[in-house]
Amino acid sequence: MISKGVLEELSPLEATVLSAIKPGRRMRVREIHEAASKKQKVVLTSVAVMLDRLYGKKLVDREVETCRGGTRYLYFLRKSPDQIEEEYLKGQVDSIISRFGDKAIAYFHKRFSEGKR
Amino acid sequence: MKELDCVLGPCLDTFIRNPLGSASIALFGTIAVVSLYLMIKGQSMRSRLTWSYPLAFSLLFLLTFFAFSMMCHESVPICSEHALMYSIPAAILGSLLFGYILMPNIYLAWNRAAPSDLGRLLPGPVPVYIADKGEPFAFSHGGISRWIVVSQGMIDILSRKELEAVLLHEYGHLSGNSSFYRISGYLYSKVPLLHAFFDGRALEDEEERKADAFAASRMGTSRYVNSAKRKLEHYFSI
Repeated sequence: MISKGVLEELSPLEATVLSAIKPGRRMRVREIHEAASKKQKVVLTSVAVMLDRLYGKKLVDREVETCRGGTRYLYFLRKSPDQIEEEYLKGQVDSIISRFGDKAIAYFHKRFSEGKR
Repeated sequence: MKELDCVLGPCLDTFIRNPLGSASIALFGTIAVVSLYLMIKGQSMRSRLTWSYPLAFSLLFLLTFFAFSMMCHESVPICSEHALMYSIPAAILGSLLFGYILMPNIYLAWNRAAPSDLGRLLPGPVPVYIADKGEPFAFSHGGISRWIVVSQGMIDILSRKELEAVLLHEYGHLSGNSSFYRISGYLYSKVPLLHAFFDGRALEDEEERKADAFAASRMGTSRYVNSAKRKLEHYFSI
């Protein structure tokens, strides 16, 4: 499961579609649509738009599968939910450090030396 | 002969020192850079193709003007003007060939468009390529090499019948020589005075209606063309 903290950074529909993709599985757009529809009413084209946006944000990857009668995209999570979360946290912390510099590092040091969580 | 002794460095130097040469480099160099930027940033095939023409024209113009200038001799004072005169039609012809033949093939390679067997859904032998893009689109290319491109994103959101309707719509453009009329209409709409007589948008709408009618007549219903359009409208409205 992708953590709530990461999903809150996305639009509600993007979050629904991302959480409909099962980790470690390659899923067709229609399969993702079916899974997402169980959580909220959504049309196929909206799922396709969201998947293309998530692909642009490098959260999902895709490959073309040749099947009987044509081709189709298979979407899958680019990284495991843990890796996505770690990358998200790294981005957030790096952003704070780049904006506040040594003050941010000093604050983190103070905060963790106090033993607070 | 003097021109044969002219190696690239000194010739280029002479070309740059010539007021016509330096002005051409400044003007067409700027046009080339701006066109390249707009072509790369273009959101659609149409806008990329459109900007490829001024890009090709400006580069070819500089190249041909430089080539003709290399043959100039100091004893012919109006040689530069003649070179300029020859360069313009050569660059127009070259850029039309580039935009109409080379650029669409570059586009196919760029989008990793792979051949498919979807042509079996069409009434005539036209190759159909599938572009590796999530955004839904389809277009046809007429002229010497005729083909249709449909994106994978389009295939994923349409039903079988809707996809057939879209392919027939594109085939309708090919059989009606739409690209010839569209390019002519576009060119006329850019020429001062003539643009008052050619409404590019009206021509475009007319060609779209004809292609829709062709697809509907082949399928015996306009249901699938309309539902495919609704899906596309919905996709781009989000």
